[in-house]
Amino acid sequence: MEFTFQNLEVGQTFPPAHFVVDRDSIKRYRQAIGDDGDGDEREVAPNTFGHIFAVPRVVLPDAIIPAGGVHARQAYEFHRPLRAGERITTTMRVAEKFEKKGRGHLVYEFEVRNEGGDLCLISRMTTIPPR
Amino acid sequence: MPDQPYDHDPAPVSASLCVGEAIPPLQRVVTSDAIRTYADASGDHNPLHLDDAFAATTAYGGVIAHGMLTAAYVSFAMQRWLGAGWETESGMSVAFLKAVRPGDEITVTGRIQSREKDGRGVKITCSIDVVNQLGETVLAGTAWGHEVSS
Repeated sequence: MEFTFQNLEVGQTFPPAHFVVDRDSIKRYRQAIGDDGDGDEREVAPNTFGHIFAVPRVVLPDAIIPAGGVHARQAYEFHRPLRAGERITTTMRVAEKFEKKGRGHLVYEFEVRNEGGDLCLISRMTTIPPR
Repeated sequence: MPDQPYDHDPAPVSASLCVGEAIPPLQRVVTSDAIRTYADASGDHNPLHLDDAFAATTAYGGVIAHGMLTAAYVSFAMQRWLGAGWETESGMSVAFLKAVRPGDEITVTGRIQSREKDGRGVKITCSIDVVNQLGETVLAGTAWGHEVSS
């Protein structure tokens, strides 16, 4: 399926995707932002690390995401930090579609939960697909 | 590893935060190394962020950093400031306004907009403004967390 403004409908949902939080990715993520967290912090991911598991190309690897889109806005609710080794599930839906200044905007909403069902993160990602 | 010194001095939340007070700023030089490291950590290897030749053919005219790298700096600034008060029942909402390029020096700034009691304690909402070395705003929005008494 191609993720264009025309092809997606508000309320559309997709199969949940499952991941394991990788300790090495947390380490590299902290390196990228200059956060030398040590001790217990090595096990706990920075809040925005959850974004890795809350983007269309990751949740739906077979989806066709047209190149040239713009990530315009990003909002989060952080409920529980992700921890190394944790098994998590991401669900994704199309939350909103609108046009602004002649450009279509798509808002995806993601929920990330741990294996106990606890809500860890809600992400709302606003993108402007290419024309 | 990014090839720059970083300021890791803790900046604990003060006992008497006031509306209008600035949050501790966070400065970073966005190196090519930091962008590559972020790409590896996130799995986002879009050539717009990594391939000079490809990026030169786009509307950006060259490589730009992932917007989420800049957003991650905002989160780190809030984490350093609020500590545990940033880890849960917190959030942020930001707009990406201008591309960040390798070598840019960016500063995360913010001011307390409101303090209000809620079920978890005192919720603090801040305006967020990330500026580059030219004083241009590259990201703007709000972030909120909680005061945690020490």
